[in-house]
Amino acid sequence: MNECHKLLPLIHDWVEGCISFEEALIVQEHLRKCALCNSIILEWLEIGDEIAKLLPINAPQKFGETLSLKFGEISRIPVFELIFGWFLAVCAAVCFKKILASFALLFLHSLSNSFSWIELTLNYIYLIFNFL
Amino acid sequence: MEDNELIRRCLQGDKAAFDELVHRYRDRVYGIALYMLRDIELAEDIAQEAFLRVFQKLGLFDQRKGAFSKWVATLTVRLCLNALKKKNRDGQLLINTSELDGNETQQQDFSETPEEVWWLNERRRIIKDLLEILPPMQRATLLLRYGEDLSIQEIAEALKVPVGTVKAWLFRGRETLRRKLKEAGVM
Repeated sequence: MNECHKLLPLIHDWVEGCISFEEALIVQEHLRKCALCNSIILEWLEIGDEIAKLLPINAPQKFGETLSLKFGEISRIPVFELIFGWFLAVCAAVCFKKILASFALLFLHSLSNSFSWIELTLNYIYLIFNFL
Repeated sequence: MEDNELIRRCLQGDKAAFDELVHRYRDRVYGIALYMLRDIELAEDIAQEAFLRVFQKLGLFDQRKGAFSKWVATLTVRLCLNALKKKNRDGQLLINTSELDGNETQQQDFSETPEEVWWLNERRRIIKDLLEILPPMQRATLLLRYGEDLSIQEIAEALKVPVGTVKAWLFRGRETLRRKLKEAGVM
């Protein structure tokens, strides 16, 4: 009985066909002498068959109609959202390009030593705030 | 017409082909959702959501990886698990199982005696009740394995868990059902 309890998960894997060759030998050896485990296997199989019979279940009458309505909603092309999205993307790209150009210009000026370190730092801070 | 032919037509923009696919699988998808969620309205919503996802992702379906029915079932179960997480509805018995009685498409076997029919129906009713109290992942595994005939490997991939975990859920679920049926005296 205790051996049955220990082997049950392995026996279940054997029924499902996902067990190694060595484990299968152990299970088969046990099943040869154990009527209880054999009856449990039959009960498992019956349960599997019963679960298979639970499906399908009739969907509600208006299932198709409601689905068609939802289907119509997702099929609509969101023109306004698309235009607005593209507009935002272009604005962001232009701003980003400008800010990059400003940083580059400031960096070139700093190389020519025409700014003091304080002026340079303030300029960078101003640029960052402007960007934000 | 074969599923693959319908899918091909869907991808070419044939709405009638998609309607046919919906008609073909809606009862199975709705059944899975109902057993998973135990809420008639939510199950209908999720079943419809599943078909919308199918429509949106149809181009990603690869017939070499398995049948369309399995793909739809997997997608439905995933949506149900997400819905359960989101709504945290597990543990609440929202429908009376008797509402499901008489709503099934299965055929009665008239070769059985009335006593045997009663006994089989009683056992089926108890299995339905018990299935609803199992943890969601065990329920999902049992439905995919026996309801939709997915392999353990396929279930593991669908639920994104190791094969060993699926084996354990399957064993625990089936063993719980067996013991409860024994206690109820119908096995």
